Amino acid sequence: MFRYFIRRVLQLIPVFFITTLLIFLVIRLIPGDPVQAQFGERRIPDTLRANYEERYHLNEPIFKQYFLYMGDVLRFDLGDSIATQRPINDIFREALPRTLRLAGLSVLFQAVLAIPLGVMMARKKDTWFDNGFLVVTLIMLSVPPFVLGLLAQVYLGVKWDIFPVQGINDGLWSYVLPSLVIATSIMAVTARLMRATLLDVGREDFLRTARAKGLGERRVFAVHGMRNAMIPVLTVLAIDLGALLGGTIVTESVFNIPGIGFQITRAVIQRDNTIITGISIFLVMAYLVINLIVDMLYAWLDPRIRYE
Amino acid sequence: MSKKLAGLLAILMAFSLIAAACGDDDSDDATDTGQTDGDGDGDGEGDGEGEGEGEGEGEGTGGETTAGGSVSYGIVEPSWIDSFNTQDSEGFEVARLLFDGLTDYSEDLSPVPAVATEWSANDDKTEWTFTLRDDVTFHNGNPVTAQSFIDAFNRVANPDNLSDVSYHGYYVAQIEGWTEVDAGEAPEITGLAAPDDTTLVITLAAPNPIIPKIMAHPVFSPVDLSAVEAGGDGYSDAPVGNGPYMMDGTWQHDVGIDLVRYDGYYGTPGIADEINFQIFDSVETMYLTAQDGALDISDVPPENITTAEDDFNGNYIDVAVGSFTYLGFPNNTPPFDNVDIRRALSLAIDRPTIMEEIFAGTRAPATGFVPPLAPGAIGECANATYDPDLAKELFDGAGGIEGNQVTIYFNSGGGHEDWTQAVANGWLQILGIEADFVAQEFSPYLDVLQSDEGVDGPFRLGWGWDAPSASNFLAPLYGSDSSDNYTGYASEAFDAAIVEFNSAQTEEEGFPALATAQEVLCEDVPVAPIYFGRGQRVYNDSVDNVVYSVFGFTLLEQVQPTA
Repeated sequence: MFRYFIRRVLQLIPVFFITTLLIFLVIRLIPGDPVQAQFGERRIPDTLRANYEERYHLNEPIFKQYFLYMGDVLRFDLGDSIATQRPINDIFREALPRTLRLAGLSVLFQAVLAIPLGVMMARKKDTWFDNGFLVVTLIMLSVPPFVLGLLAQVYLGVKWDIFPVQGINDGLWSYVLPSLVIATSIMAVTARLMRATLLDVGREDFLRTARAKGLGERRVFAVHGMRNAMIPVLTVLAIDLGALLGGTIVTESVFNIPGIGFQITRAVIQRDNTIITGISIFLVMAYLVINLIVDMLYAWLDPRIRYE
Repeated sequence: MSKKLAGLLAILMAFSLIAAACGDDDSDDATDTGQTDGDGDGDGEGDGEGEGEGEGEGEGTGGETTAGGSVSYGIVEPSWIDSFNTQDSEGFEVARLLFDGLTDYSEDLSPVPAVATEWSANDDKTEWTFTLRDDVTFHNGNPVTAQSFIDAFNRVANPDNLSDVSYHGYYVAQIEGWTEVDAGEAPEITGLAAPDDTTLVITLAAPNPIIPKIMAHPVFSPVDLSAVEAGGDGYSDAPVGNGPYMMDGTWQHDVGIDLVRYDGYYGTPGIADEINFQIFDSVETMYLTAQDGALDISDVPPENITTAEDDFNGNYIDVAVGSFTYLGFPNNTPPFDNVDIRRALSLAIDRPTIMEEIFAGTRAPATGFVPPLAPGAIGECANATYDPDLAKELFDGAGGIEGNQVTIYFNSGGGHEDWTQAVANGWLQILGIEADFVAQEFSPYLDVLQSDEGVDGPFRLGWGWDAPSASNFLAPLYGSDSSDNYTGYASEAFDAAIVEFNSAQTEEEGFPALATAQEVLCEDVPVAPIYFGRGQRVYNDSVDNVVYSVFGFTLLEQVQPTA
């Protein structure tokens, strides 16, 4: 298991440098001048442009810019925002906990709602319950989160006054409604996957063996069936978590939660290249780390993987 | 359930708990960002401040103002609230409460005393002497002197500070020696002198009769360098000003900015004890929050314009503000180098109908080159009115446009799709020319406009004033040597009129010159004027006396909390 872990970590290093270089190059290829973008419709004075270029190393050759930047990144310094001169580390320190709360709660709600629902659907296969929820989850999947968010905000927030309408001023409670909105719109995939894999696993030989050994149906299902059916579901949950860390742009905007998605949208609109690069590189790291954890979990859940 | 599955769930749970626990600072904000103000938190504050006497009076008479209470006001995240780099309307809303400059604007947009009590200039308007009050203090108690202004101006010009609004010093005001500091060639601006604490002498590189007006801009506010030093990196998030309100804590980025009344203020004190700026990502959410009662004053999203008045029981404000949007012609590119083609295209735009249909009347049709509210604006320009017959006649007389085809350029995402389409429809019907559109995101769009090739068709741009004078809508946009002149228009008559205005003794004396400049534009039509901006606000019954100014900000120091 430890050797497997080391091997996986070593694989990450080239992946990290290649992806960051690509991000760095691609963002600089976006048309439009980030310095002029800070200046609106007025033509930026030459002296100010020169000052900006010096401050943000924009006058250096691009590969030198990359090495300067990576030098800072490896010292855990993501640089300053080009639009506001704020340290991007500060922006992260504020935005990340908010997005973590939103993403964590969303995945939790999703797991809590979708896994039991999938299990029930698998156990009651082809009954009205199963068919009914297949339709319901399909509907939930089809409604855009933006519509769902606005509906939830107007009814649960303004009209019935159950949840805060927006903002983050009510502690964790502020995050419940937006997390539910996200969970609702993405749980369909998880629930359906849970159902499908559980049914697949049900036909596997080792379950027949377990039954043949005289184990009760309940134990066969819960221990041997669930454990194997969890692998794809876990993958989906982890991918969701990774995607949600990138910020749920629409939900964060509708509910006015200044998380990562909020920052990235504004950075794109303002052409704040340093923030876009910083967030993208952070997301790469987050993905890599989450994937590593998931791989470790696989190995732990399925002995075949770690003994390969 | 197996041990491992249980472990798995435990990991998920632990993750959410960690997520819940980190950054607890946010939950603390709940108590002080004014989220609950709409529910009556405000009057509690008022009583606590020992204004009980006045409060009783206020309730009885209704019309009188009573100190106390709090006002919550919705904005989107400003880029800066520190005066040396304040640049967007949100930033101005905050900075104008934190800082007072030498002068302020009166209701009729003339300059009135603020920190300066009087001012005078030499004969050619290149040397301005401001006499300052001696009782003005910064929020930390330090006195505001003439040196505070010199320090502030040098801070703006210092290239290390990367102030985006430094151009006010050398481009708008043309203060002697500012450019050199900005370019890193000199340590201090040579055109500033403080013979004593209450006298500030500003020397200009070129005559300018509207300096007292220009000085009312927040970028020309004083600074206490000892406070900047003490504040360190965080100073700009909690700047120490000299205005009617001061920071209460620091700026919570993307969440809110809290201000409290400054008791040592030299002028008319603010009415509310506290002003809480709540920051929203979208105006839609801001509006919804105000509808819910959790926000006193909100901006109005375009889709709510038609219902806003009903939604807020008539508490709706809609006023003209100082901005201008136009379709510029590439004046040196055929066929737009022909003045009759430009006139024809401008005459074929039915501005009033377009504004009514597309913007529900929340933009004013621009029938001239300067918003009517700007001092020095002349009335309607014949060539900026709707006259399809004349348009057709001029168009045909000039030989039309080859291929009957134009390309209209605009920036995407700014709400310019519909009206440019409407303009093109008019051109098709009246002149028979087909338009295609090139829409680009703002930054690449400007790159194209600024490139040497430029564009080969009409392009959208806008302008917001730096100072409330017609001159500010003229010289920057059409002056032959101005960097903000995107059309390539060059007119000796126009340039001469601007020179004549700048050498006038007072702004009023220069009005005839400004009128001449506008008449030249009316004939030459370097751009087709489209609309002048208007601003809207809605407010709840929890506040009263809400005045939205032509500068695009609310006079928050005058707002009366009633809840």
